[in-house]
Amino acid sequence: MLNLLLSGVTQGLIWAILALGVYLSYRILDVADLTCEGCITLGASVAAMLIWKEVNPVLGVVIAFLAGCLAGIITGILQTKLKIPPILAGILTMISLYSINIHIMSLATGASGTANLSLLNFKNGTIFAPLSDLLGLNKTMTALILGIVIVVLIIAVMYWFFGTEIGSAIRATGTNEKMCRAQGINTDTTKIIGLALSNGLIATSGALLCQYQGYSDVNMGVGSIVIGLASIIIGEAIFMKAKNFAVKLSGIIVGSVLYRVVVTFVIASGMPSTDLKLMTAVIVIVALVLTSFAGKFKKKGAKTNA
Amino acid sequence: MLELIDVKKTFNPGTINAKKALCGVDLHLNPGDFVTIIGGNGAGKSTTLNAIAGVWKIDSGKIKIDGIDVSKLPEHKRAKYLGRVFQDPMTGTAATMEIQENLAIAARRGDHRTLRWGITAKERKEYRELLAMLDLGLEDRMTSKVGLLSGGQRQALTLLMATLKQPKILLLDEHTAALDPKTAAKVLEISDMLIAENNLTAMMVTHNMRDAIAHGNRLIMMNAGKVIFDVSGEEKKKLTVDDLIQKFSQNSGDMLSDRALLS
Amino acid sequence: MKLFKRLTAIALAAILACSCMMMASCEQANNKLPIVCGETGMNDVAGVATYGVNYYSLGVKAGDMAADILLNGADVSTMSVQMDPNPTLTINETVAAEIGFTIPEAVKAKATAAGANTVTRVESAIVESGADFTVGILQLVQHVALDQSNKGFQDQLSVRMAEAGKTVTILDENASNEQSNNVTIAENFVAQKVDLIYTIATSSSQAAAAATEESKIPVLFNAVTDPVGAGLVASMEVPGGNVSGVSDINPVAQQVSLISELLETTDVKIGFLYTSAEANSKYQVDLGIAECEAKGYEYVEKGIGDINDIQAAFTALLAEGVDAIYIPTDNTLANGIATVHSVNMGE
Repeated sequence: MLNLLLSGVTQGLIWAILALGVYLSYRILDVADLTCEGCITLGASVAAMLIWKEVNPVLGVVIAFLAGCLAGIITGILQTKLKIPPILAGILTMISLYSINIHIMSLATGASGTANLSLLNFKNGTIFAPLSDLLGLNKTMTALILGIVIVVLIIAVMYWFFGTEIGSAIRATGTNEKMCRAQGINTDTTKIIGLALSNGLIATSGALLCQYQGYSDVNMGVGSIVIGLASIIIGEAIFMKAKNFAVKLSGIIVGSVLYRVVVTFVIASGMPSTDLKLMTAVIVIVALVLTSFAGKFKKKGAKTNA
Repeated sequence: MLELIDVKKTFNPGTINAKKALCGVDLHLNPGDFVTIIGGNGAGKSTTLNAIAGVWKIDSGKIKIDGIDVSKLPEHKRAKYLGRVFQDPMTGTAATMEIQENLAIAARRGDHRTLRWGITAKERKEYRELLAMLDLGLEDRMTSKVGLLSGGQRQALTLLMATLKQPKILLLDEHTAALDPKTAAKVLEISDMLIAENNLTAMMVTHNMRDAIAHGNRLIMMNAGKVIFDVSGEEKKKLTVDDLIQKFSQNSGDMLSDRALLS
Repeated sequence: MKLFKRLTAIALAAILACSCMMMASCEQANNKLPIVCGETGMNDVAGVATYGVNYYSLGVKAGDMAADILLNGADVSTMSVQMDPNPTLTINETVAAEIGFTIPEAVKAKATAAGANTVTRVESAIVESGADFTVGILQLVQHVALDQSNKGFQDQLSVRMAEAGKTVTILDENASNEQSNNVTIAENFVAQKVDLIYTIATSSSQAAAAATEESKIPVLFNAVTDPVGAGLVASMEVPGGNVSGVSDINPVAQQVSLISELLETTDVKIGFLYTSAEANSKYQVDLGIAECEAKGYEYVEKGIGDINDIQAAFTALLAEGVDAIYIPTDNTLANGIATVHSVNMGE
C-alpha cells in the first residue's frame, strides 16, 4: 500500500514538471500548445543519447531543457512570424519532432532509424544511480527526493521569473494582447519566450522520465498532453481559492501527484485493463465538474452575503 | 506634435469587401492641443486613431510624432510615444492581473523590459497616491484583480495607465461610449484632469456632440475618411450643437439620418 | 542506284543487329530473381515466400518458460532468449507471377498446411485469489499480434499449472499505448510482489526491467525483436539478469533454408541485401550466413548506405551471379522495398 503510494507520488512529481510546462502555455499564455507530445520525447531522447555518450546526466538534463526551449521557439515562430494558427503550429512541431527524435536516438546507436533507446545498461550513467548511492536509498525514494527538490526549485524560479518585468509582460500577453501592444510589449517575443520555457520544462520532465523508466521511446509522448491538462484541472479544483502564484503552481504539483496516485490505485484495483482510458477520462471529468460546481456554490454564497 | 500627411487606408483591397477608410487625412496638432473628433459611423474617426497607433500599416502618406516619422514602426514600438484608452473597458487592462501590476506594466511603456522585479516598493507608494487622486477607492484595492472592477473603474485605471508615463499624444477612442452617463461624466472629468495636469496633447473621439464642444480646445469633424471641419480657440468655444448639425449637413447629405451624431 | 540500295540494306541490317543486341542485353538486366524478405509486410511487396512469426506460439513458449521458473525454480539469468519454434509460411503468388517464378508444389503444400497449434486453456488453473502464484502481465497496447502473445502465454501457463496441480492468479494489465502507464503498471506489480512479470512489447519490457532493478522479480518478455539492443539481456544465450523471454525476430534460419526449397536445390548462391548501418540487420545477416555455412550454400553480402544505393547493390549482386536474394527486417530497405521490386522487374 505504502509502496504503491510512494510509486505514484514519485511518478507524479516527474510528470508535474511537464504539467508546469503545460500550465505555462495553457493557462499563462492562453495557448493550446500541442508541441508537448513531441517535446517530452525530445527531452528523453536528448538525455538518453547524452547518457550513451557518457555525458554527465545533470548536464544532460540541462541540454534537454535547452532542446525543449528550441522546440518551443520554433512553435513560437510558426505562430507569430508565420501566422500559423497555434494548434496547427504545435502539431507541426510535434510531428517534425517525431523524425528528429529518431535522428537523435540514432546518434547514440549509430544505426539509422533507432526508435527506442534503452538505458538499462547505462544505470550508472543516469542521474538517479549516483544519488541513490550517495543517499543510501532505493531508486523510488531517490527519485522522490530529487523530484521534490527539482519541483520546488522550478516553482521558485517560476515565481521569481513571472514577477520580473519580462515575466509580467508574458502574463499580460496571455490575458490581453491588445493592451500589451499598447503598452509597448512585443507580443511576438513574449509568446516565443513563454513557449520556449514551457517546452523547456516539458523536455526536462522527459529527460528525468527516461532515466526513471529505463528507456526513451519515440512514442512515449502519446497521451502526455492529457496528463498535463488533467493535472492542471485537478490542481485548480483543489486550490481553487489560491491567490498566490507559488501556491497555484504548488496546486499543479498536487494535481499531478494526485492524478498519478489515482491511476495507480485504479490499476491496482484490478479493473479490466481495457477500461484504463475510460477511467482517465472519468477522473478528468470529475475534477472539471467539481471545479464548476464549487465555483457556482462560491458565487451563490457571495450573492447571499451581498 | 503630430502630423498626418495625406494618410490613406483601404481595408480588404481588391475584394468585394474593399472599403476606403481613410481618403487622404491631413492633420497637424500643436503641443498641448486637445482635439475632439466627431463624425458619423464609418467616417474614419477611430480608424485615424488606429492609424496613428499603428494597429496596421497605412497604404500611403506619412505620420510624424514630434518630428519622428513613425509610419513604418510596428504598434508596440509606437507605444513609446502614445497613451491609449479604448472604447471597450476590457481592452485597456489585463483582467487577470492586479491593479498595481497593470500600472507597473504601463510605467514601463517604451522601456526595455528586463529581469528586474516587475514592481518596486517605491512604485507601490506612488501608485497609491495616483489612485487616490481618481477618488474611486482603488488605492485600497491595489492587489485586486482588474477583472473585478467595474467598467468605469477600468476606464479610469486605463487613463491613469496611459498617462503614467507621459505620452507625446493621448488617444481616447470613444472611451466613455460603453459607460452609463454618470460614470461617463466621471471618466471625462478624470480625462480633463489628467490632460490638464500633465499638459498633454490629446485626441478624443466621441459620439456625443455636447462632450465634443465642452472638452478640448479644438474640434474636427470627419466624413467619408476625410477631415471636413476643423475649428479651434474662441471660434470653437462659441460652437453649439445646432452649428455642428448644420455644418455637417452642408458637407454630407445623409447626415440627419445619422442618429449616432444626434445623440 | 544499286549502291544506294545496298547501303540501305547494310544500314538496316546493322540497325537490326544493334537492336537485337540491345534487346539481348536488356534481357540480361531483366534477370528477375526470387526474393525472400525477413518481414512479411516487405515480402508482400517484393518477396515470393517467407516465414512469419506466430505470436500465439511465441506466447506458448513464454508460458513454458514462466512455468519452468515458477514450478521448477529455473534461473531466469541462464534461460536463453527463445525464438518462434513454429513460424508460419506464407507465399506471395502475385510477385511470383510478376517475375515469372514458379513456386514448387512442395512449398505451396507446406503453406496451406500451416496453422497455429492452439493450446486448450485449463480454466480451473487460473483463479481470482488465493492462488499459489501471482503473475502480472504488462501489455503495451491492444493489438492483434500482442493479444495473441498474451493468450498463448495464459493458455500454456494454465496447462502447466494444472499438470503440476497448482493455481495462478493473473493480473492482466494493458498500458493502452500510454507509456506513462508502463511504469505505473510495472511498479504496481512490484509493490504487489507478484512472482513473475510477463511483458509484451519492447517499451513495456524495459519499464518492467527498470522497475524490478531492486526486487529482481523475474521478467519474461515477448514481442521484442532485439532484446540485446533494447538492453534487456546481456546476450541471447545468457541473459545474465532477472530478464529473459522470447523474441519475435524473424526466423532467419528457416527463411534462408526456404530459398533452397524454393529453388529445389541445395546448390544455391544467396545474396544478402541490407543496410550496413543498421545493427539489427547486420545481426540477421550474420544469422543467415551461419545458416548458409551450416547447409553449404554459397552466399555474398551487399550492404547499402542509403536508399539510393539499392539499384547499384542489386546490379552488383546480379553480377556476382546469385540465384536469389534475402533481405532482412531493415528500416531503410522497408522504406525502399517498392524500389527493390521495381529494380527486380527491370523498371
